Amino acid sequence: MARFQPDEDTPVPMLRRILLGGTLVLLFLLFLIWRIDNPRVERMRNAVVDAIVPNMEWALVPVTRAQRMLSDFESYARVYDQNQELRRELQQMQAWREAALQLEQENARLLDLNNVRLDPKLTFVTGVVTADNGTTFRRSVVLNIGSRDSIRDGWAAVDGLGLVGRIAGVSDETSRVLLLTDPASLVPVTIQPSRETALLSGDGSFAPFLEFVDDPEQVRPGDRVVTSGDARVFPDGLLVGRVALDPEGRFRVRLAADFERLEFLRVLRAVPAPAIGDAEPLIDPNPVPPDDLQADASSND
Amino acid sequence: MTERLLGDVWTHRLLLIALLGVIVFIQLLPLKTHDLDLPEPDILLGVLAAWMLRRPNYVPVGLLVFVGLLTDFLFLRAPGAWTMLMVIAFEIIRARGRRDGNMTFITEISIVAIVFAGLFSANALLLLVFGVSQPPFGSTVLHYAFTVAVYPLVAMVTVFVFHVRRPNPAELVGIRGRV
Repeated sequence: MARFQPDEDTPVPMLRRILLGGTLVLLFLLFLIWRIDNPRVERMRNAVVDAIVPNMEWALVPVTRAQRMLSDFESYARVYDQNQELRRELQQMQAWREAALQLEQENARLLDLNNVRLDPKLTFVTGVVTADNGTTFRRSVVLNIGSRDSIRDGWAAVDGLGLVGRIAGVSDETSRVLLLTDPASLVPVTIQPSRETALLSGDGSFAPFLEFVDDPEQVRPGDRVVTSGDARVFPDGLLVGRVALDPEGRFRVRLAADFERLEFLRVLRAVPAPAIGDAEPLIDPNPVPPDDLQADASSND
Repeated sequence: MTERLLGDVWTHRLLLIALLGVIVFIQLLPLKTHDLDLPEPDILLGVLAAWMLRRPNYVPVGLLVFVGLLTDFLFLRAPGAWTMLMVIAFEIIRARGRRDGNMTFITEISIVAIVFAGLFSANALLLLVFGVSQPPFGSTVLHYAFTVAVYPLVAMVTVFVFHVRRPNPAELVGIRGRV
């Protein structure tokens, strides 16, 4: 008697039960629609992100800055070690600087020789990272540039050092960058200097796997990994990182981009080279009759 | 009496929404500077469960659906699936809390652990059946384990910081009188 028992037969719990059932059915329908007509629902998702994330920007700035200051402050603890390390690196850098200067001169000379013009399509739009995706298993960030800045799906995003990911989802004022470390990310790459091709496949960790390496004998830890331009996902030759071996003997890539501090990202306007279609234009559409050919041949003699 | 109770309910609902908003906001901050691949606990679920077991009327289904859908969209989950399973899971918790008004803390933790286990595995199964890619099994298990592990802390914060406690018998009479 003293216990509170909800009365099963009154109309209110009955109505509640019907509403609850209806809600569950609607939610399941939403999931089904998402599974069937993915782009439409993803556009809805982008609209939701677009509506919420720009409103957070005012709060994100001080928090992010405070957090960065904190992590900088932590590094004071290791200031002596860092100093030594920096000295060592500086020495190495001086050697590199010499090499770079020589290369620059050489490059300038070669460009001059060839009269090369850089492709005007290789320009970029720079955006600021405004939000993380907030989940445990996905790796993506939201940029404050969107279709208003003529960003399109599939363009490559780099931070000054290397490839970071590609645009996956654009709304009016924001766009989402699917990072190379996301489990859904697959990027065709070339390993230099052996020219082996492979597929860079994210698994959520900071060092994605190299899959489908043709001849693993040719690949050594430390080799450079660049995008290959296959499948027209990215323009070719963008630096991705260096090959590393994990304790289980699989190839992973130590990424060149600084994934721990993604702040400004460049979205390359680069359009991958158009695929060569059928061979029609390579063959003369108006073939010369055989006797003319012979006449030609004789006149050449 | 009734107005006071009703006002109290709505204040707490707004407080809960604000609290959940803060949690989502913190999760959205670009702070992933650590190199750890460990999944972090789902504090949102813990807070909802702790409130639900103490004051089910502060956590209406509408609020669950709203929070679930919003996080589905923001956190790149398959929209709808997780929300649907979450609503079912919390209806089970709600019913269990109603039936056993003054359960011990151990009982409470075990209810939460069992229902969340069902929730996570049902979600994994649903995504598997519909062929949606999902995180590796080990990470999901860790995610679940951390979520349950922080639950006692979340429940303590709910009681001692937000003063959300189970209604005492006198209040129960009031609530029953209202319905």
